[in-house]
Amino acid sequence: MYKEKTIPVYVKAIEQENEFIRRFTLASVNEELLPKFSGGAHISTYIEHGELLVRQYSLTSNPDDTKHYQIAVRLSDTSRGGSRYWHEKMKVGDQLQISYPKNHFPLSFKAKHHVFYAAGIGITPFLSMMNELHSRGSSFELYYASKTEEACAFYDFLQEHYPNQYRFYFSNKRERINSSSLEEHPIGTHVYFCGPESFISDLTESAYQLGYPPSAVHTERFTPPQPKDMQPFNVQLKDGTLVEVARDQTLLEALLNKGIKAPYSCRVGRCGTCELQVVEGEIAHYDSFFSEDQKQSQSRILTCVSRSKSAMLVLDV
Amino acid sequence: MTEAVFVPGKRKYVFCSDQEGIKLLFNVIEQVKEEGRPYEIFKIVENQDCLELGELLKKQKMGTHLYVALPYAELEKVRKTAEEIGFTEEETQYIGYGNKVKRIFCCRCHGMNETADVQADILCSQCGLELSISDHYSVFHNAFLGFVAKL
Ligand code: FES
Ligand SMILES: [Zn+2]
Repeated sequence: MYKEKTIPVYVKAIEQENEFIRRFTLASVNEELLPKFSGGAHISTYIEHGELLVRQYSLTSNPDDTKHYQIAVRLSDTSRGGSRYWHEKMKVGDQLQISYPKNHFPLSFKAKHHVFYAAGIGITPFLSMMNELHSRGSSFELYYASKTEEACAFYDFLQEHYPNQYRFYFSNKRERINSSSLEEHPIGTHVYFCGPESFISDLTESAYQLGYPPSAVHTERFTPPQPKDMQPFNVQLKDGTLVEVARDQTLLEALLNKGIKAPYSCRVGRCGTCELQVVEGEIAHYDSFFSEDQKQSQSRILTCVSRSKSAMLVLDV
Repeated sequence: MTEAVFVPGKRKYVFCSDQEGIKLLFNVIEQVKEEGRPYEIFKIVENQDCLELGELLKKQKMGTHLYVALPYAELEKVRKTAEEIGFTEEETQYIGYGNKVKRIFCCRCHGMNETADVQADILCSQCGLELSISDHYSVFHNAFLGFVAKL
């Protein structure tokens, strides 16, 4: 029914973490164990609500405990229905489908030391990663920026579980994560960045400037990286229709504007729903869904984020 | 690698070599000086163990690039030390000089052998066993393990 194999689950518990963030505990409907996962993994959730809402959330629970999964959902001010549904409609006992866990943000097995840099809800993938390292006895630290203490998700949890391994930065107290901390990490360290785009790109740039090798820098984006210089292009459909995609518009938006029923859900290049076949032209992939091989094959495009390198793209719709 | 290549944009450079090897790093050291980047030179004397070097390498921070220029037979020891501390391939250059022989120790008699051709099996010069050469390097022997070629 969906793009991938799914697991039926139900909401076992809901906790209000703070004003904007709720935690949901999910369990299999037939009380079976859920698949194992590794630190940094996420799932897609499928909710039928008029339209199909597909969203990705990092698993925040202990990877060793597969009786339940836990996710943390932040109510987004620009919600297109996903986080709003989770916050306003989801009740204990409700059923939904989830994907098998996937991991685009795994821990390095080569690192001698791991340092996590989180801003806001960017903390979520690090919870399972820290859990995994903690049980392996590996060394790690967390640098975590939040607007205020109240808005800081998992504040109590972190203090209780990793009392000597975190540093908080609250912007209402004029505290900021400074890239100078990158200067202090001993050789053999791997750094992991998760948060808003500017947070990730600033830190990544600073790390490279210091001479960090690319393989020691890991990032997880919840929004797609914006191509620096967006170019307009044209697409041609099977029936010959020509659609112009403006500089500041996504291919998906252009198709929808033309009244074409293009599929979509997450709109950030993470769920795969908006995939279309490409017959001709060179694709510039910006999603985090396709594998390198799939990208290389140049035969499918995720219209919500990806664009064209050639002036014209011919689609099989 | 036979020649050291200057990698720009690193916060610091560490050079490790003996009297002879330093000549192979000379060009890069000059470039580092020109760029005004911090650097450190560690001199290795013959048959020195890696303890002191290890201490120095452990103190380095991310963004440091390491150059090592030593006789082939000495290179592995340092490579192993640096790798254990966390220096990756991308952060290091190893330049060997002299005879490109590999030291092989026999799994049966622990006798030491030397060979230039690492593809072929060898006969242990001490006990006559036919040995295949493994990737397993022992710091203790400063040699690669030779294991029984024919069972
Ligand atoms: S809509 Fe989810 S990947 Fe495009
Ligand atoms: Zn022997």
